[in-house]
Amino acid sequence: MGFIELEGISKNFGCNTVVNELSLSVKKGEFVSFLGGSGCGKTTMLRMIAGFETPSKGSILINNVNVSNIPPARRKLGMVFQNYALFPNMTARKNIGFGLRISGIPRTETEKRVDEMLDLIHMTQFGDHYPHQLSGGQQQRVALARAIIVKPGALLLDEPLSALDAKIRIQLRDDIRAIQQQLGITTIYVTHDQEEALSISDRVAVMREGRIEQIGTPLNIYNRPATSYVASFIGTLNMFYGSVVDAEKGVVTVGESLLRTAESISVDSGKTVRVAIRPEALSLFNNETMSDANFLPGRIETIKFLGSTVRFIIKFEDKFISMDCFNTPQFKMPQKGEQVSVTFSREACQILPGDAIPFCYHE
Amino acid sequence: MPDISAQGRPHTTDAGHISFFRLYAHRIRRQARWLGLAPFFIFLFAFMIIPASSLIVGSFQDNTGALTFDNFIHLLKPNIVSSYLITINLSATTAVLGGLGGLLIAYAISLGGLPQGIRSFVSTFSGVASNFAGVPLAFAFISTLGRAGFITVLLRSIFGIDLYDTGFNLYSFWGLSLTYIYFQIPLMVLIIQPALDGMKKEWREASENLGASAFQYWFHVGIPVLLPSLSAAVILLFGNAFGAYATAYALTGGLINLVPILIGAQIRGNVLHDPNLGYALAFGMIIIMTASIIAYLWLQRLSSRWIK
Repeated sequence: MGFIELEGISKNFGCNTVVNELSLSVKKGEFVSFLGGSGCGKTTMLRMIAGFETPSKGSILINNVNVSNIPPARRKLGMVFQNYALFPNMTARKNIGFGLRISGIPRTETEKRVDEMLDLIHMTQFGDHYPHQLSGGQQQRVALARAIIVKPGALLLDEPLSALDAKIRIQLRDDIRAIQQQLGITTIYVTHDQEEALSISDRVAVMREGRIEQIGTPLNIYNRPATSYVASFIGTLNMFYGSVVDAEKGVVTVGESLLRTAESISVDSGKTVRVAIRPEALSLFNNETMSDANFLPGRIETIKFLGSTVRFIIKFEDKFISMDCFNTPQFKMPQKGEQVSVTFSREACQILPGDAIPFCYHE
Repeated sequence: MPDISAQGRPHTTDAGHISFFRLYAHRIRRQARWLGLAPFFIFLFAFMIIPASSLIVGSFQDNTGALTFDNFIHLLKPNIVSSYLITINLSATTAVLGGLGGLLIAYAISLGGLPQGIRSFVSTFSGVASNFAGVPLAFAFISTLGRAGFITVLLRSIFGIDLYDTGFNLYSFWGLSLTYIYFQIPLMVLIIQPALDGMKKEWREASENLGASAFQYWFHVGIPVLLPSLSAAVILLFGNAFGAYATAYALTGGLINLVPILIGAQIRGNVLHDPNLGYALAFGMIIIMTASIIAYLWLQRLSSRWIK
């Protein structure tokens, strides 16, 4: 039994079903992210856990207690909001100590714990600043300290970094993860940023239309997407329609080329499937290429220099392939219009059901 | 062609001419932006600065134009002191009661979860009602709550209640207060609604999440955040009532000794005629109104820093 159990949760707003029969078990001390696009139901789910929305169906258990109908004030959960939600009439110190003050903790104890929190978030010198005197990153640190000072059972974060600059975002997400691990607090994190979710979570739940499309470790989600949606949502991906030639041996045709996969295919021969390959799994043919690798012939259409990597868009038959190469000193840059042979291992070739929207590569 | 540079003038190239004209055009454009404000400044100068200046100068003069402080000494006469006190009392009463009524309505339409249509209707009505003052408002109240007013007659004929037997009198302090409240409430709705809209839902949720009750939220967060806006709004209502003349004059005909009516009597010159004393009275009003405006602006600045 997990520390947080979501059992068949549904939420309807009028005729609109925002969360649909969602179930999830979160272990104590685990960091789980809800990842998905706008309107997928991730924030609504988080708000139901916090108690700001009531589920239309299903139950929420925290530490074996059904909290579905318990008001937010009695759930003992810490929440960090997207727009910080700091009280503008209080200094950082007063904001952090608010939860302790209203629960009647003595002043000396409150001050001591506030000092500890200010130290934890590296903001000792900003304790007497008002929110409007702090930067976005500093405000979010204060919001985090305010949420955890009351020692909540779990921490809920609703897109806490989305309003911040890219540099601050990276720094703060690392800090959030470090604090979470230091305190061992169970955390549910909502984001639409895949990099954010993959970099700090123990597990990622990719959501779509109110359901969890796939849940797994970041590595598993990235390397083994269970559905076309997950494959297309996480990272950049080349995807082609193919036809199964030999399901047992894992052989498919894409256009006029024959591709081999590492495992057998669970779809009957002759059926249509989708073949997914990550751009970083592709390389240009050279002498070191394995003899059993897959090949696709093509012509370089576009070269995008991205600093540490170079992205090539290669035309293969009537399709386009995206390929990433590291910009190492040894790398010999091919020219635009050059005929090349793109190669990739059998393991890089992922087979997905072929019933979704066709496209060539997805960024 | 004479060599310009040889005549001691700076040598300018074509590019130099172009950049000079560009700079000149840019300056003209920049100055032209101020032209749009010209009517405002003309209006301000003609109808505020000049009359206020002549009023201040006149308050330090006697009938012959000589310098005197007698007008200000006369302000301490019991009837004038009482006039200021009644006006301040009326303004404060209607500002507080109108402010409270307006706050409740604004809260209902901003945070009370009412349908958007009702919000639009109340906002539009408030815009109209807050400007419905003066003689038309006085007659509207006379025709409804006067001795032969519609509601007075209706109450008497249907329920047998004579409003005026209960002590109510439209032409008294409380009758005038009621009439003022009619335009004070909608004005409060219009002023305070943006402040209530600026109250973030997340503040309430964050305090709830930290274990606070509704009372604790309003005590520690809601009221302190709203207080500058509320105070500023009440000060504005105070100023609005303090300067009102036509409504009071049309309704009570000078029965209630208000400062604007007293100023009118001194300047118009029926029985009382001492324009310079009138100017001194008006100068006193200007001081009170200026203090109100300064307090209003300071409080607005404070609240806009919080609710942004």
